Amino acid sequence: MTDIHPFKINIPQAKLDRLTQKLALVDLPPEIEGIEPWARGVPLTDLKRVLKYWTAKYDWRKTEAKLNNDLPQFTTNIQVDGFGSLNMHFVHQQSKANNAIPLLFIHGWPGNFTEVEKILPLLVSGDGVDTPAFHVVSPSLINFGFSDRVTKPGFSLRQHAESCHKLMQKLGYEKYVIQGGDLGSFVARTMVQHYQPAIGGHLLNLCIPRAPTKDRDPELWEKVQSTPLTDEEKKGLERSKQVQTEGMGYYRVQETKPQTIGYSMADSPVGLLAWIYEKLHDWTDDYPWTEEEILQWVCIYYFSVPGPNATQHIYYESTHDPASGTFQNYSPVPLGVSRYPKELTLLPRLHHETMGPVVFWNLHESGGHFAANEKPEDIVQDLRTMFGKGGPAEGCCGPDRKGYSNSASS
Amino acid sequence: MADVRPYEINVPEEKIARLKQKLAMVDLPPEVEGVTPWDRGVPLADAKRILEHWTTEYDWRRTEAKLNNDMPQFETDITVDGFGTYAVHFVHQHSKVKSAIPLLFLHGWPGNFTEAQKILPLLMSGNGKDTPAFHVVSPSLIDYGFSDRSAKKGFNVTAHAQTYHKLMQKLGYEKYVVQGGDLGSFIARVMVQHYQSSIGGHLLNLATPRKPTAEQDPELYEKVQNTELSEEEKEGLKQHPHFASEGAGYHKLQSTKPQTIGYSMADSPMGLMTWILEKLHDWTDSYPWTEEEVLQWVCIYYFSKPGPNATQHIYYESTHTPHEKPGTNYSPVPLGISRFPKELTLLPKLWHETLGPLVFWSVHGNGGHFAAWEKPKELADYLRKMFGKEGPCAACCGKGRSGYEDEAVSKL
Repeated sequence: MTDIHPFKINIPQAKLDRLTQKLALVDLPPEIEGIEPWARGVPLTDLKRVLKYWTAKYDWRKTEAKLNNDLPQFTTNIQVDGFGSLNMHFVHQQSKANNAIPLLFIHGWPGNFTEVEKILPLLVSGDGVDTPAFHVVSPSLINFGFSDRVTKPGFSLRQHAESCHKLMQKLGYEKYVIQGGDLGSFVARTMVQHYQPAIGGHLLNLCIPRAPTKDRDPELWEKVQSTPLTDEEKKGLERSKQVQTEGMGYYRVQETKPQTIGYSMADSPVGLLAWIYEKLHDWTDDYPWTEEEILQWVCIYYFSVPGPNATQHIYYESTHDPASGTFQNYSPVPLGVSRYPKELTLLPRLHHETMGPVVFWNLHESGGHFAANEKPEDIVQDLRTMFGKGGPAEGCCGPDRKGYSNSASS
Repeated sequence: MADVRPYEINVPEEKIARLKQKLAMVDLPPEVEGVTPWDRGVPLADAKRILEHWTTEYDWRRTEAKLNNDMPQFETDITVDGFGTYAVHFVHQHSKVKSAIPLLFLHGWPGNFTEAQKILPLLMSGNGKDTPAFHVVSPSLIDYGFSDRSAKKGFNVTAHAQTYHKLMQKLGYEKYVVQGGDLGSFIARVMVQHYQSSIGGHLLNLATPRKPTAEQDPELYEKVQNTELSEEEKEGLKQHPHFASEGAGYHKLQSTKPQTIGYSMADSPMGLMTWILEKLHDWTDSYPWTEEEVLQWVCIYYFSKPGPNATQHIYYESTHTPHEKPGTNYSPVPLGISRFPKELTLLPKLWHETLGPLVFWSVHGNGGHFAAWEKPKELADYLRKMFGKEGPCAACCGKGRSGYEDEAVSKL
């Protein structure tokens, strides 16, 4: 553990000055009147409101200080096969309770390591008596936040899985659990293919199983044929369809021409803001984003070590990597799903059984894609229920990592 | 013709100054090393090369002067039902031959009215004796170039079709022919649904016919089943799947969130340039774009009257606002196809018979999507062949518009 260095975010002043320069020169497009707000993208009034705040009020140094204060951060070098040594930035907070469960939290796009901000104190403060305690690790994925940029092609889900797993091992967590959404959920699914003995269980908010087929899953397929969909599942399919039809433009661009869109992302803070803000709105359940929150998320991209365009490449890599589909393969690692009505893809429950033993399934009344940010109490409760005493994945990290100070178990 | 006003491009100095300011402050992204150039988008080396030229050598006023000199331009007001009155900018060049064929040339995205630049002199050289003569009209589409912004939702291809038909009528062309590619070809197809008696024929480089079915086209369907595809058709069928899987991200984005991408287009000339440059490269057949050409195309977007983001909205409208009469419907207006191997979609010849009477079909060995720019000689030649006195659409625009001085040469 010798080359794990404490880290404080400290963006060079030149970068802040550049942003100020650019914000002073913004040119905005006009807007067609009378269109449904958000139907064609970020409405001009919303964009202007956030832009005005960014220019007049927002102080990155305040955000920086808060993050450095609230989230203990570190960096360390991780060897990834074929890519050499890559520097990974991560949050690491241990619970006071010994025997806490090591939890790896994996963000996605356009998220970042601070998505753990609200759940961190709740998880770590589990008293280890009545509620399980967790040690929490939340990395910046490679190509994101304050981790390194990859300079070679081919850094796909497999490599993200490898870097995250090796990080946990390096921190001394031989066995751990995972919570992931968006890209984090794909990385988690890839991890449970390759590192089964190391992962006690995984709780996902986004989960995209394949549909059971008669050839591959005869029993399950029979069950699917004879089980009518619930209202929630029907609504879920409608939501999925709507997202596929109206919300996948960014995906199609990023998975084919990440370099092209990268020029806009790098050169225009307002372009980057709109690109991200659209998803912050569309993917959540009327979450009342404040300007501070939006700008924290956007600035992490703007000021990131890899640069704002590096984050698009994983879409290209995973689409062009024939092995990326393995995330859907069956793994015996216990799977839990924490489901929110405004998630992007919501497939029937039985389909999830193609992925693994579905030991936990919880439907929430509200919430969307960024569960840890929108519904921190809900997802923390789900983690406690799944991994805590009496839960379906109780003790999955071994007798010394049950989450309770007393090793007395049920 | 009272309110057809002469037009000279004269971009306000502040716009040019703004561009300079922005170009002085470009931030470039890094690049993943070792990727096949253009696979993931515009290579950094190419982006830098164009940027360098733009910053140090390019002089918009020179382009402006050249365009004003070489292409006689005008502006007129056209009222589009349900939308309002718009100022439409267009090139209009008369042949010396009075009985020339009126030709409407329709550009697309990321093209512009200057796509007619190279075929214009070729068509003007028609002497009306051995070669047919044309009068040429090349508008800036609404939301593009120096025409007005539509500023209203629902301005779909049908609205575009109405606009340019009315333009031709206003210019005194009761009957005319159309050449179009990209968006222009879709507009042409809708025009031949609504204005059949006004259009003598249309030559398209891009066409997207539906596949004949047993129910809708029993005879044609049989023919398709019993006809082996040519080598060219087999090769052609590979184009669309490749485009759909690797090159259609822009389309999905513009069809769903044009306002979002619009912020980048408006705020970053570099973003705009690369967004366009990618297609200039990918959609052509190794066409050796010069920096001057690229920047002429890009600047027309950057300096356009409606602004560079307005041009995305037609994609949204096309997806969300159904047409009363879709372009894939059959129209009796004679159809010609000029085919180039790097076009984005190349479907089997027989399928085109679902669109109308296929009277002209020409396959060229090289060339791509921007036919008038890449292959002006060939395209001009196809127009002459299709609409000339020996051609399948000879004298299709009626008396006094045969393209020839002596009306007795008309086949009719």
